[in-house]
Amino acid sequence: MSLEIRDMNVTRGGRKTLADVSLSLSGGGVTAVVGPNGAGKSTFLSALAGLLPHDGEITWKGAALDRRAMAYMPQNTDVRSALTVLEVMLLGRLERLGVRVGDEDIADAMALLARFGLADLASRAMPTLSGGQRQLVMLSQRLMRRPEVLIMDEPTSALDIRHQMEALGHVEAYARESGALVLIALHDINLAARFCGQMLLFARGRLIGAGAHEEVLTAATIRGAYGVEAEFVASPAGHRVFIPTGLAPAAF
Amino acid sequence: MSDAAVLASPVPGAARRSGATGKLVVLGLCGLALVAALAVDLSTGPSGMPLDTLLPTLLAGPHGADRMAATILWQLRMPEAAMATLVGACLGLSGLQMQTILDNPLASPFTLGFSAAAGFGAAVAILFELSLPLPAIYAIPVAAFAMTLVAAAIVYLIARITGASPEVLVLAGIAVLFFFQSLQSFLQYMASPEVLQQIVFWLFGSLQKSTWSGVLTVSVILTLTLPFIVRDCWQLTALRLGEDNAASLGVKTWALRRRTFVLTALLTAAAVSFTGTIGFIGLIAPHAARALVGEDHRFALPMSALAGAAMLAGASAFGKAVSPGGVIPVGIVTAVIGVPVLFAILVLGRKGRPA
Repeated sequence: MSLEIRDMNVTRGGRKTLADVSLSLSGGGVTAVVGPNGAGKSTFLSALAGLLPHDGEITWKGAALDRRAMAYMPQNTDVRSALTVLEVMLLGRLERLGVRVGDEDIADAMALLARFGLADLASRAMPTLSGGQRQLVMLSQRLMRRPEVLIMDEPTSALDIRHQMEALGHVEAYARESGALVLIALHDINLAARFCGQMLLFARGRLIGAGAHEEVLTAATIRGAYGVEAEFVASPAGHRVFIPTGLAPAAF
Repeated sequence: MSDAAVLASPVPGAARRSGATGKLVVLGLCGLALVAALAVDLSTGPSGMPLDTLLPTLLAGPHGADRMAATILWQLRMPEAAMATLVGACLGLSGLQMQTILDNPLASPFTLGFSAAAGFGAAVAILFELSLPLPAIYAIPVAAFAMTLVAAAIVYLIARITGASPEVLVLAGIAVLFFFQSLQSFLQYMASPEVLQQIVFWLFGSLQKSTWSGVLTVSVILTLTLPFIVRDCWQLTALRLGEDNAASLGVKTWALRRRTFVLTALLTAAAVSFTGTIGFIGLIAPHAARALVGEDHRFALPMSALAGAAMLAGASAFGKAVSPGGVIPVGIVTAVIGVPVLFAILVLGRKGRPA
């Protein structure tokens, strides 16, 4: 089960926003997509999700990546209409919904909501929820699709620390149990290192590092990508912790 | 490979919590309201007809023994009542679809200039009535229908060239609206007082022009569009998640907007061609529907259709009751009784959702 990307290029408005991305990733784990603002993370993810025109070849298990095997959570998922939480969850199965909704789909939705601690909110309208709760609903909606490839663009930006840990924990468990490939854009490097076995570092529209977080994230790559001086220290419990210490002299 | 493990933790009461039963009850109640409005409407008119005569005359059919009652009911009142139901349903359906694809609660079938175009078409037909090959009773609806489709085609082409974002559609529609309104004003300015009066009366919107052939035409168009509307009801619901979410779930939002746009153009053209511009229904029936059954378009679409039909039938009955001579155009009554109804529904609907 592996995802192969060869020579992915995205051009928007005559400007190349993503250049020559080639990589290979295997399923069963979570890969973090990190990099500064404007590095091309969102462009990469939405092109991968088939929502942006791009060059290059993408294959999953040796064949072209089928959109039905994939779920994508864009950066801005906020819902303004008065759909209920359960309706939003059911829409995750859009392709198979008929005039009558199957009991199995409702049961799956309720099970996922329970797993995310949202079961009591099932019949509530989305605008009555907090921003963090809405984001959790949208995240669980993507799991309703039982995707083989799950792509999420900053899915935890509205969540507190505990809910970030919980949400990423559930996603990681899903990847492990189902063998799915999960790609998550995250800004919090420590969080990314905690939950994601692999890491992709983007800067200036290019993929500049791929692999385990110890290899990809070093003081040198952080300085090159973000323009920030950083230290990596080992915590007493043995975690590798990233600490930004100052701004690097403008090199670019 | 057990993604079932993620999904299948046991949940108490996980069964049916979609509230479908409650929504079906509300739909049923609205259906009853429609039937009641129709009964009142059919029994009201210059010559009266008590409810206890209404049912036997209805059951006796158009060729019943009481010739007088049969003629009044089957030739005069039934076409009006049937037209009110159909036109209300068309406007309710197209109004909700329009508000969904434009993501705009102020949208109605008339936002995109359809009514102005229909009015212009009708005005042309009225003005040149004598030189047309068709009798006015056919020429006016045909001209109004054709001009509505012309307006739709213009909006469609603009959207096609510039991208079908809701903003572009609304902007193009409003431009078309003003364009046809100006043409229509020009015709009114040029017309003689008698013709002007006819044009203005048409624009008020009235059910008195209803005929069985008109009823048949509208019901054929409604029936033909229904399968497409039913097929897209979940896609339209998904569009309520917002553009990005809908696209990420696999909805081809531009294609969905295009299809729905064509359907609303047909429904609106059918509705306004035979009755004139009764626009208000298309604006408030969707709000009533969402307040009563929520955003799930499986329920909201039929609810909006039923609400539109009930409102128009009710307005027709009310108009006839107020002035038994029966010449207050229903378009005027609709807004007068529609606004209080809308407020009541919004206030009641708000109780459930503190937003």
